[in-house]
This record gives sequence, C-alpha cells and structure tokens, in this order.
Amino acid sequence: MRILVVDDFPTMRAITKKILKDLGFKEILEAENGEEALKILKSERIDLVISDWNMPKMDGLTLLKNIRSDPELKDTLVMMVTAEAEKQKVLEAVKLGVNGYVVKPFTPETLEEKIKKVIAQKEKGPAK
Amino acid sequence: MKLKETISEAIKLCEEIDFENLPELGPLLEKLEKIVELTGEKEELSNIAKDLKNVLDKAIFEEIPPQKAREIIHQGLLRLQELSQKEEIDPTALLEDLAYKLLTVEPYDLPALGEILKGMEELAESFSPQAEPQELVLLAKKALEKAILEEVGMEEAVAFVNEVFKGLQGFLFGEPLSPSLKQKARELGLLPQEEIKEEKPFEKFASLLERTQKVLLEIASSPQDLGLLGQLKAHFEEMSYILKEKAPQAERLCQSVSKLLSSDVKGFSSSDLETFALAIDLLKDLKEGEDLPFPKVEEVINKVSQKVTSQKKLLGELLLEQKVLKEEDLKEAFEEQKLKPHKKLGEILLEKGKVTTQDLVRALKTQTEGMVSVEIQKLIQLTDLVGELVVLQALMRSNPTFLAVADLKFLQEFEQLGRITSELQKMVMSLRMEPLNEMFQRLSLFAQGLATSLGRKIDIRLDLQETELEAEKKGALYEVLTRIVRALLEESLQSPSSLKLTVQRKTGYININLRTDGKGLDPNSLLIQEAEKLLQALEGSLEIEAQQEGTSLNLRIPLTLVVIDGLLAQVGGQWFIIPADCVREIYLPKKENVIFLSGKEEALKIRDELIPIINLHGYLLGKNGKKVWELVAIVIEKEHKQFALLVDEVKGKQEVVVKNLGKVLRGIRGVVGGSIMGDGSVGLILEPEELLKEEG
Repeated sequence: MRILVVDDFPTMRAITKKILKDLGFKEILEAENGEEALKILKSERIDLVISDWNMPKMDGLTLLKNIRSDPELKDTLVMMVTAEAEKQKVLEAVKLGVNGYVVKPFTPETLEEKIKKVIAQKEKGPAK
Repeated sequence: MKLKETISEAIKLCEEIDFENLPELGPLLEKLEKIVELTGEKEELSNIAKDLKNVLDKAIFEEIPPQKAREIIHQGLLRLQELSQKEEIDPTALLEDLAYKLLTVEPYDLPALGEILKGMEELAESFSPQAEPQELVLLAKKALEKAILEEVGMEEAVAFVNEVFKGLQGFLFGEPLSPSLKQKARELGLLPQEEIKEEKPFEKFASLLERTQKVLLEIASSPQDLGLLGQLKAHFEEMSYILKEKAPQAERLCQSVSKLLSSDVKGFSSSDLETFALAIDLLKDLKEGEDLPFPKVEEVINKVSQKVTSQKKLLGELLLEQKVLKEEDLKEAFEEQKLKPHKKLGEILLEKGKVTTQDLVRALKTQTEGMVSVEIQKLIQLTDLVGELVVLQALMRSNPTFLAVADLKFLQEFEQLGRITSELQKMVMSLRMEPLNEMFQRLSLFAQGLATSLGRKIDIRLDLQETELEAEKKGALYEVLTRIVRALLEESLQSPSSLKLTVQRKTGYININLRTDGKGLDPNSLLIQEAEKLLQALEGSLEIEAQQEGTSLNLRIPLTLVVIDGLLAQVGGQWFIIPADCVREIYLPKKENVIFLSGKEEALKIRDELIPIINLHGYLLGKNGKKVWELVAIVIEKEHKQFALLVDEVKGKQEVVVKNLGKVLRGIRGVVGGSIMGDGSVGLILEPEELLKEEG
C-alpha cells in the first residue's frame, strides 16, 4: 500500500506520517499541495491519497476533481481531511467521488478505522 | 424528443434567415406551428409558443419591425428550450434507477453514495413545482447526508430513503403521500422535533410581521418621523433574530432591510416604502418550517440594495427629471462609460454635446444639496487624532495612579468619556470607509464590455464578501484592477474565456483573487507594471501564479482602520494579538501531552487527538529554552486548518485597532498589522493561517 499525504503544513504531514507508520504502513510519500501531488501521482504508483482541504496552488477539492477526470488516475482512492467546523463541505467532495474523509484532529484509531473502511470497500468493488 | 429537435431547428432558422425577406420566413412559421402543436398539453409551453407565432404573424404583416421580431422570437425559443429540457426529466425512470442504486449500495461506498445524492437533487428538481414530493426528496437527501457525516446511522437513513422512494412511486401512480414519512423524518432529527416548541417563535414572527406592516403604514403618512424608522429597523432586526437558522433566506432578507435602515437615513420617498412593502409581502409567504425561495429573496434584496446605493440621486436620473436629456442618449453614454470607466458620466455627455455645461452644473448642484464636501486630507487627520485619543485613553486606564482612584463619580465619568470616544471613532471610520462591492460589479461590467469590444466572450463570476475600504483608496484600487483585467484580456497568450473574482475580508487586509483559464500572462508587461506601481501607493501586493488550469492573481490590500476582537498573548516580552474568532480553546499542556515526531517536530496530544504545534518562540523570535509544557497552547481552528500556537502567557481579550506596520515589520510571516497596547508598546497582530504558508 503506497500512501500519498498531501498537506501544506509540514508538522501536519509529520503527524499523519507517524500515525500511518505506527499503523504499519511503510511506503508513505508527501506532497505540499495539489499540484505537487498530481505530479507524483503521474510518475508513481499510489494506492491512497490523504489530502488536506485548503492549500496554496491547488486545493484538495481541485486535486480530487483532477484525479477523477484523469482516465489513468480515476480509480485512485482519495480521502479528505477536514476540520470539524467545515464538515458540511464533505458533501461537496462526496458528490465528486471521494472515498472517505476524516475529521481533524484525529486519533490514530479513527484514521486507522477510516482507512480500513476505504480499503475494504475497494476490495469489495463498487456496486454496479 | 421531437419537440426539443424542432425547437433547436427553429432557433437555428431564427439566427440564419433574413427577417426582411418574406419567403425566408415561411419555414420558421412552419416550425413555430409545429411547436404549438407539440406543446399542446403543456399549457405553459404552448402559451409561449403561441405568443411567438403571433409575433411572427405581426412581423409578416409589417406591424412589428423585423429585427425586433427576430429578437423576441429568438429569446422566446431559448426560454422554451430551457423549459422543455426541464420537462424531460422523467421522475418515474429516475426514481426507479435511484431505488435500485440504493438497494445495492454498500454503506461505506462514498462515491456511490455521492452519485445517489446527485440523482436525488435531480429528482427533487423533476418534481418541481410540486412542493410536497420535492420536500420529501430533500428530506431523504438530508438523511443520507447526515449518515455520510455520521450524525445518524447509515442503515436507518437508507431505510428512510427507501420508504420515501416507495411513497413517491405510489405518488406517481396517484396515491397521496403518507404523513408518516414526515413523522419519521422528525424522529431522525431532519425536521424540528417538537412542533409545539417551534410554533412559538413562528407565532411571534407572524405577529411581529403584522406590527411591522402597521409601522410601515404609519411611516407612509409621516415619512420624516425618525422614531418610526427606528421602530421599523428594530422590528426587522428582531424578525431576523427569530428566523435565524430556521429560515436562512428569510433571515437574509430581514437583515438586508434592517441594514438599509441603519445607514443614516433622513426620511424615505414613497418608492423606498414600496421596497419595504415588497419585503413584507414576501415574508408573508413564509410558512412554518419552510424557507423563502432563493431567487425571490435575491430579487427583493437587489431592489433594497439599489435603494441603499442610490440614496444620493444619480446624475443621469436628475438630468432626465430636469428634461434636459433623452433616455436614449443616457443609455448610449452608459454604454460608453463601460468601456471608459475612468471617465465621469458628465464628461461623456458634455463631449457628445448632449448637455450644456449649464445643465450639468445645475444638476450637480441639486445632487449635492444637503451635503458638504471635505478635503480627504482633513478627514485623515481627524481619524489619526481620534486614534490617538483612543490610545491615550487606554494608556490612562493602565496608569497606576488611575488604578488607585476610588472616586466612583470620576470613574463613571471616565467610562462615559470612553464610550463617547469609541462612538466618535466608529463615526469617523464610517466617514472614511466605503463599501466595495458595487465597484467590483462595475469591474465585471468593464471586463464584459472589454471582451465584447475584442470580439470575445467571457464568463465572469463574482464571489464577494462584504468589504469596505478607505474612500481615498477606492479610486486607486479600481485603477489597479482595470489594468490587471486589461492585461489579462488583451495580453494573455491564450485568451481567457472565464474569470472568477473572489473577494475575502481577512484580519487586517482584503484579499482579492482573480482566477482565469487564460494562460501566458507576462508578469513584466507594461500594464502589470503600472498596476504594481499604483499598488505601492496602497501598500498592497500582487502575486501572479501560472497554474495548470490557467492563471491566478492575488491582490492584498491592507486595511488601516479596522477594529478586531483579539486575544492578547505575550511571548518573550513581545505582545501578540490573535483574532479571537479563530481560537478554539486555550490549553495548558503537561509533559505527557507532548508527542515527538520524526526530526525535531513536536505535536500536542489533547484528549487523544494529535495537534500540530507552532512555537512562537522559535518561529518569530529567537529560540529560548522553554519546554512545551511550560507554555500555554492556543488552539486555532480556521478554514480546515488546525494547530496550536505556543505562547508564554495569555492576557485576556480586547478590542484593538489595527495599524499598518512599517516596511521592516511587514516582511514577517504571519504578522498582518500592529496595534498600540495599553502600556504604549506595539502588539503584533497575527493571522494564524499565514503562519502555515510555505516555510522559507
């Protein structure tokens, strides 16, 4: 499982990375914003993107749109990270095809639970 | 299907044929007749079609000029096309499809749930204008949304949506909708739980509305009675309070009316009263547990805000009233002004010889009656003086001698002095500040006009927060923006077809963002250089960024006259002010709360949640040896970001006046302004979000 963590705030990336490592994920890549994330996605195999919402250059929602509209990337799993106060915005991302979301600040357990759900769903395959 | 095709064929004909050549009108007449036939059962559509055929008949009999007829028919056909497309969403098929999707969806398959949400929006639309089924679909959608947000169980929600779908299927076969569905919605918390509890505020609203109407009638008979105006304002304010969260659209309406009433008004004309009556009539349509339709509210608010901006009679209007100008000439002049926004209307009219200087002077005189013009420099001085007064007062308050005073009368008088000073400050500010939104709208017209003159089309969207700027800066800002727009439209290598203007009010500055799909803007072009030069005078900054999808321009205009509610914190003897609205909590960390990440990064564990840290000691000032647990954590939450700022001490909340900083301090990341503190030192105002922006 190769995970790409997208956040413009280095410490937040470090936190997510630490939690992911503790959960046993080994291959974790980082990007500072959506644009950088897209570049990485185009050159490397990524299974799951965990993206922040507001970032300079390209925000999370635009990143999601770009992933879903690219025939080669469209099946990549995408999770969005949001703050409690902005939770309503999740619905926008859901309509654009996000696979999961997690509310900041999260505990390691919540993140694990959310990632597991997303992966389990992927294995089952989407409803036809 | 046939109908849609015929309409588009007719539109094509309408655009291509020569309306003055009779034989060419034949095929169009045939198409219109066909459309009348095809729309037979749908009254709304067929009425439009019949009207259009009538217009063509009249054009054939030369009762209407051909160009006029073409215009009317073309627009009518476009409207028909729009309506017929709406018609064609068939709720039965859509419902079946959604019911099937719902049956097979996995509870954690968000993309599939997203598809269903989109389908439900369409379904609600397809039931329009039937309110009852539409409301149920929206309730079902809300249930699903709540389940996605984990506020209700997914199984419960899906079961409810299923029931709604079944009910709707029955409804399409002519059965009535069961009231138990609404009851279920209430149980799920989608509708207010207890009807009785809700009834009270609504009743209050209804009786308030009635009283408001009475007050309005009284004002109609004595329009100069300011007491009555105050009453009217209070009523609208109260209604907006009652409607809060229950009916956001209606609340917005009440707010905009009460805002109009608070802008210092001296009596109203009868047309103003009509606008208020419109608002009241619309509010009467409000039913319990529902909201007003957005477009109608928007329409009335537009009228209301026009009143606000046009309290000073416009020059054109006056000239028309004095019968020295024809309406066509005025329109023509307006068109020209769109292309030359720096020119005043009067100048254009004079140049074209439509009015004489004498007419113009007379009109301008009438326009400014009851007003005094003041040199802007004097106003600036006045603001500065008042600012000093405020600071002086804060200084006195923290003076040890003052703190020792026990004379109650003196203290009361001092308090009174404080109130008057702060009123005075607000007053002076209101003189200097002007709202900007009208200017942005003007800019959008300018861009539209410019694109047209270049033979192009551009889709412009505005996303505006209410912002104000010092009056003397407004003109310069407009000059900056027009230059940028010109650079974008005239000089981009790949011309833009869309432009989005976003304006946000931030702590200490206004952020203006222009985003376009145009590419290849030269950041060193003459126009941009001019814009940058003008910006320097405003102490603003411009950032241009070429992106994958186009170009993004970001402008920042610092504000100098803002008062913010700030949290005062001290770090290494330096005062910092943090806008109170983004502070979630203040936390005293203990040693066991600190988590070490890779490298030197640290995070805070508050109630099991990990929160990133920014230590203001290491960040803006030199490091000192203090440990995290010896500091105070201010937890910030704003626009999806969350982190803790570490400071030495928090000293409570206070309203502070934002001052622009000198060049030296302006470069510090995160610092957006300064303020003179009670002890005379300068406190630095932080915009926490800014601290996160790319390191280095």
